[in-house]
Amino acid sequence: MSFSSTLTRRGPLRGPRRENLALLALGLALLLTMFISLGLGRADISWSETIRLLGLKLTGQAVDPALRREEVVLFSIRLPRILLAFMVGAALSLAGAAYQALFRNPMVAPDILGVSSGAGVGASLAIVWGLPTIGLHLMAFLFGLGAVFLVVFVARIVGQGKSILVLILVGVVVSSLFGAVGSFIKYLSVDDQTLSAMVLWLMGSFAQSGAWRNAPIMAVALALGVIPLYLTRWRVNALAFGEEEAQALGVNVEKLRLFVIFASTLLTASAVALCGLIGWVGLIIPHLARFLVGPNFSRLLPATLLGGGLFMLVVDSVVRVALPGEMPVGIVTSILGAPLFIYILCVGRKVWN
Amino acid sequence: MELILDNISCGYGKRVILQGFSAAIPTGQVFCLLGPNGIGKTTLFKAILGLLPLKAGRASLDQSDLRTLSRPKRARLMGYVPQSQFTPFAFSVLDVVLMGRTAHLGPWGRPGRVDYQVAEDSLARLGLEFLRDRYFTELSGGERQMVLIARALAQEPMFLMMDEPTSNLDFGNQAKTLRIIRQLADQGLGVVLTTHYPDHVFQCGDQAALLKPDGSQLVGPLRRVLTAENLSEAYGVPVAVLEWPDKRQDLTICRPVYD
Repeated sequence: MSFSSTLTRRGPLRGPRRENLALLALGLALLLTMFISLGLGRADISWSETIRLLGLKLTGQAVDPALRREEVVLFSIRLPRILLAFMVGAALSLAGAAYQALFRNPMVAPDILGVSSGAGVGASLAIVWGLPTIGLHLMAFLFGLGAVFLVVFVARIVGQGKSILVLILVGVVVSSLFGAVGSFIKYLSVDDQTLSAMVLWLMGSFAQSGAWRNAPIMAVALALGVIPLYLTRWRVNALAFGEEEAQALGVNVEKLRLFVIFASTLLTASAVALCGLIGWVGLIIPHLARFLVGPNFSRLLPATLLGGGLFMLVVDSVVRVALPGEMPVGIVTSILGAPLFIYILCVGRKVWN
Repeated sequence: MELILDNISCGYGKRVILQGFSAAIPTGQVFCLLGPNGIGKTTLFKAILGLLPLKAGRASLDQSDLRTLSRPKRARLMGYVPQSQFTPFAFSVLDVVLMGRTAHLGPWGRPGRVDYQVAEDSLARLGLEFLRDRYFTELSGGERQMVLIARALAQEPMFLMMDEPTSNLDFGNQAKTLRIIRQLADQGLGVVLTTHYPDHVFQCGDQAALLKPDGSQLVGPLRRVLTAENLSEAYGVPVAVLEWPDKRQDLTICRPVYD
């Protein structure tokens, strides 16, 4: 049984011209959204002040001391959060696209190999042990990576590293195991504050972006994940017809697969470790990106990066400005994600075989 | 160039399915593998392609043992036209054919001008230019089959390995495919194919290998291998092979005979 979602592109323009235009449009939309998002917020800063401050910053001029408060709000609070939201959305979406290509399955999300549940356990332990924030990020990251290594390792033993199905099934098993361990830790924590800290972390949020602390970390992780995927952006396509065909086309499938898993896991684990669980983005954005530029990974890669970043930025801006309190962004992505996905299912052609 | 299979045994895991198979397949010829279901045609096929390790014996191309060749090198010698044509993603036909260039690119490489030219030429060679910008997932079974042949041609191989190339096609597309196979062989490619239809072998083949249920194998010129007697034994039904002399060509037909 397999599902094929071949959202086919229609309209007057087909081929590379349309795809280049789509990428350009995404890029422009992203810049515009970043600017608007910078100007939006609880602190009352007028658009003219925003534009003036941005102009001063971009040209490297000194800022008038009278605008000191506005400068801090724009460039030490909003800007790092905007960049972090963009990078996390980009990372999750690209990881999703890579996993979908790897598993030849458009229904796969970036946490298919257990990253999220692993990270959840790491974060919960860090909260129980009262580690500082940076320790929490580190624990979540290491446990996320650890869960995936466990999956790959067990799958190698069970399926001699050959079957992609074994990998997915072991992923499900390990996810479930780590999920249970996470629940166990929550069950043991008698103190309400610890418990609510854990639950809140699992919901995913950009509220704790720690000014400029997290954005550079995410930038490094994003670069480390994007580069290997960029290098293999053509080769990954050859996996679309299955393992044997890819081998017959001259691809060393086992090596390529580990390479892609490593890069995608790095992307997902760092995003989850810094911002908690933010669902649906990594599943839906690759679909929409394929709708715009097609499945060729050379174009899908920039499209998911831009599209994922844009989507996350829009959602986080709405959360920041329009919703009361600091609603975890993961809740909003899930509420938006479910109907959006149903829409994709309706538009996409369904093939059951 | 000659593909030499010397006393090959192959199978899955510990199970040996086919034992002691030998054949010499020169370029420019069509070599057809026949036999009842489950006899090991596909297994042998995969072993030749290097998708399954050989249990014993040696497969070599012009003295060089296939096992010593890297995957890309192998892919530059042998193009694979698979039976299944499923992908969940709507790649354009040109992209699918370009995938055949992968073995000619470095590990980080992307197809360049030359690769695009080869892909377009491969499509043109099969008269498929008009499919170039269509989506592979929208094509009919016959068109997909042709595109996958074009992809294998884009590998610029010496041999084409075709797994049941006619099994999912209608009568007309079967005939077209067989004609193209013959043409490609006449242009100098070696073709190895598996099939369930002796008739198809008569239409395009040079040599045949018949795998029989008792584990024995007949390999040789097709008229010597595909006799009524051999086919009846291999498939367990009485078979007649009829020669129909025609002015333009030799027509040979095979069909079961009922009592």
